[in-house]
Amino acid sequence: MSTLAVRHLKTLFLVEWKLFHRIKSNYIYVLLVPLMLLMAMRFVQEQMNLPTHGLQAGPVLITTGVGILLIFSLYSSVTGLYVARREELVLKRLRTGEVSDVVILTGGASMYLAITLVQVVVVAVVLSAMFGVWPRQPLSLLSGLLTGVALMIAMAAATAALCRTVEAVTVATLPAIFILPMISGIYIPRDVLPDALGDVLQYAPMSSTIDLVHAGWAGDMTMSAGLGRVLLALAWAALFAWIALRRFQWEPRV
Amino acid sequence: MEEPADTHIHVHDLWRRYGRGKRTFDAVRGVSFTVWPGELFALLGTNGAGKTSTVELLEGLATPYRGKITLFGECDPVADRDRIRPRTGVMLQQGGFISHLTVRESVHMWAELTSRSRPVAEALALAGLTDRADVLVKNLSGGERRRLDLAIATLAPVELLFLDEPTAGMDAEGRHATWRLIAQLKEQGTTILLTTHYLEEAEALADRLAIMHRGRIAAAGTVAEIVADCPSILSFRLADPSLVSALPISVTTQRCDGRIVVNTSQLQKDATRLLGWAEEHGVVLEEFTARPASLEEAFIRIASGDRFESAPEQAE
Repeated sequence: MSTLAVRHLKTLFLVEWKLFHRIKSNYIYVLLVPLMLLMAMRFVQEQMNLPTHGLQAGPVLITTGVGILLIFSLYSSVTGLYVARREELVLKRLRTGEVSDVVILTGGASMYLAITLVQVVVVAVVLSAMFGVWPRQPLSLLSGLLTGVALMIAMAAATAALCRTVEAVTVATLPAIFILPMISGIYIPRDVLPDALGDVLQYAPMSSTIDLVHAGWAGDMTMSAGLGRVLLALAWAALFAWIALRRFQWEPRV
Repeated sequence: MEEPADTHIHVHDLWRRYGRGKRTFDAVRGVSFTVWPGELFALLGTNGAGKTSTVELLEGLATPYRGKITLFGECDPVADRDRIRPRTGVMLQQGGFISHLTVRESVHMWAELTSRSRPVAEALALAGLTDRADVLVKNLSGGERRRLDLAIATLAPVELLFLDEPTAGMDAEGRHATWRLIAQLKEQGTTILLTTHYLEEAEALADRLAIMHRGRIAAAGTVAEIVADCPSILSFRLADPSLVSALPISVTTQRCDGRIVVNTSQLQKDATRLLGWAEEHGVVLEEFTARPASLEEAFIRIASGDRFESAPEQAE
């Protein structure tokens, strides 16, 4: 990345950082909602009798936390950001300047990415300390986070491509917010589900990311299995990126 | 076809199509024109004439359905975007600002995104926004937003400036201040393509202009060249209205207030005949005027469609 692109990225990051603090409702959505969801999931997972399925409570809850943060703090926020900036004609105006399309899209998203990563670190450290479990396969954890970030940003761009207005974002992100965590093992680990269902759901968009993050703490994934999960996650990310490339609009549709 | 090598903008047979399949609409239909370095070229037209659609193609914000655009003699606005952007400034028809930033923060953001930007304070002063620097963009008036837009478009000393209705919504003072700034930029050698609804703006600033109508260029040239194609006007009042039938030239309109209007393509000849007849018959032509058509009259004539649907002229 060129020096100019880095300067542009930094500028857009700082603008979004300023705006994040200026609009107080952001704190509630990005910070409070994931925290409350995580507390609720802790209660739900306590009822699942995880040890009988060969699972430990700590890694499962940490994985749930990471999944929730990726969806709420990153995917949902970035989708809203793209659509809002498009409605205000900010994306169109930015394209009249020297900033490249890639930097326009990653510049704003980078602020939410930074917030998400900080949240992930805090949640992971606090829960690891609480449960006395620490990452046993850091490479799996890192792969899970990286593929998760790529998938969430590609999904956000694809969802934004399908939304005409900011109001439509609420509806368009519902499947990802409610259905995706259910089928990808974020709320309910797939090992708890019937085998046949679990086998099918391993191909869901976020399943690979969740498996990799979980393996980061549980340490139960082979290298070849990990590679397969990374490839599947990247395939999903590529599919959403392809949709975004084909359908993304830089200005409101007439 | 003209060689585009020495031009700043060269457009040939440009088309812009919206929609797909059976629901298509051609907003720009075969437009061709050239803008030379240091020139101020104005695109005039009614609402929906295709001005903004054309300018957006030049700005590289959309891809032509057909035709070719060459900027700076060799660049394509879309394919060569990286090379073009540092050399161009753009003022869109509508803002595109983040409403929760202040004016100063907006200009600062753009200064950081622009090579060779002038200092923020200087840009604010040039646009007359120093007093409004700490106001949120969402609280600005329409005219103030246009000034902010202009401040951002002129942040760097560019070679080519696109101004899409730069004074829309401004009060008279703001409009004249903007005209002064545009004239100053032109004096410094900036090539400017301007779209406007205000005919006096085009008359005051443009070296050449083109009038667009229904996606095509209906007339182009200097103001004098455009109005030369329209009939001149003789106008007077007769103390005795019954003399109308005795006039040596045919009357175009007799208004209810008694004023007689004659449209003519031979102003000197018809004026001489009329004045000679009046002298000979001892008739007084009250409030007599003889003048060429104005740009406004030429514009209205084009907008009403009576000289359009024939072959469109080109502005090369």
